[in-house]
Amino acid sequence: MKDKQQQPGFEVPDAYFERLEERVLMRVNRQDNQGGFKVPQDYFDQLDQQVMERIEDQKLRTLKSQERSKLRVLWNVGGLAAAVLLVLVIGKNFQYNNSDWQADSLEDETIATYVEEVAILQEEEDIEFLFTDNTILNDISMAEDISDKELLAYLEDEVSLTQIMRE
Amino acid sequence: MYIHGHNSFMDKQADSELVNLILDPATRDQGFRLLLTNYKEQLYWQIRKIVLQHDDADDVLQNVFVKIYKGIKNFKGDSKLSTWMYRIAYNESMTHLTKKARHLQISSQELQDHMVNQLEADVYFTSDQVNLELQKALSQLPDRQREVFNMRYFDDLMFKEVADVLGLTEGAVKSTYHIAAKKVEKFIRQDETFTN
Repeated sequence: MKDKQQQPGFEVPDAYFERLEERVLMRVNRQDNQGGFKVPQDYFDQLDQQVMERIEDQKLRTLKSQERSKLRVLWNVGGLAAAVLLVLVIGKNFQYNNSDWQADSLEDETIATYVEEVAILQEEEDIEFLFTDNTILNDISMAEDISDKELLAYLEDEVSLTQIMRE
Repeated sequence: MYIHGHNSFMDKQADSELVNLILDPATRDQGFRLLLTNYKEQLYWQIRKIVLQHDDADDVLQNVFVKIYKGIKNFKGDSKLSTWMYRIAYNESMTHLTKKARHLQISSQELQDHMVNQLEADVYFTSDQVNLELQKALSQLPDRQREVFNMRYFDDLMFKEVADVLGLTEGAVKSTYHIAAKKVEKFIRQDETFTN
């Protein structure tokens, strides 16, 4: 090496420049060789398209996943609303059942209004039956005032023996 | 093709232009295709040195590019784009190996032995015995030492870049490389393939 190329104050290891070419070629060879690893033919030519397809596929999956998430949210909200409704209904029913225990404290007028409004006895026949039933009860209570003699006479005059047997 | 390994203003500017191209919805796909063209081989070989099998490398590489596509908006430009992508590739490769070891129910070291043994029958690995023995030597190294050695020896990254990828100090990388190189040298000296 010519003196003018040497830099004052700087030194290199012994035989550095003699082996430099060999070492550079080794490094180039090492990088070209990739440590013995190889790839299928045209692999890198097709890679761009494969990657883009995978990205498109991922986008599609993300969209589907977002739709599924929305549905899941709707389903959860619907379920929650149903649960709240159920709790409210059960709570109301529980309150209604408990109100029976306080029935004694209700005034007659309140009950009558309730029966009229809610109409437990919706048919006129039901109401008539109640009155009929009361008449019978009244008759029975009145019967306590009739003597045995009067009762026997009534039976002999009004009801035949065959009628009693038939009944 | 981008030449990696040496930081420069040109690299940073080119990175910045490329990233802006991808971030613009109108030129996103065009920009990403450019990134693919520029970096696919570099990233492939970095991944391949870690996972060893071509099919695994192909799968990991495609996942890496999907992550880059999705995450490029998070690239702040603090490091080189190649370093940022290398970090993603490294993490993805290591995650792949962890999953593979778990799937095969073997330890990390057993997986390395298993993968190196498979190389002998791999059609995408040269039949050169020297390269095979070198891979056997590397498989005996701890993960960190093997990675530092691969990045420095095969990929020709600077110590600073290796440190950025692995989140280490430059000093730690230098000493790790020194230890790894000594171990590989010792393995090679003991191996008949190299001594004959």
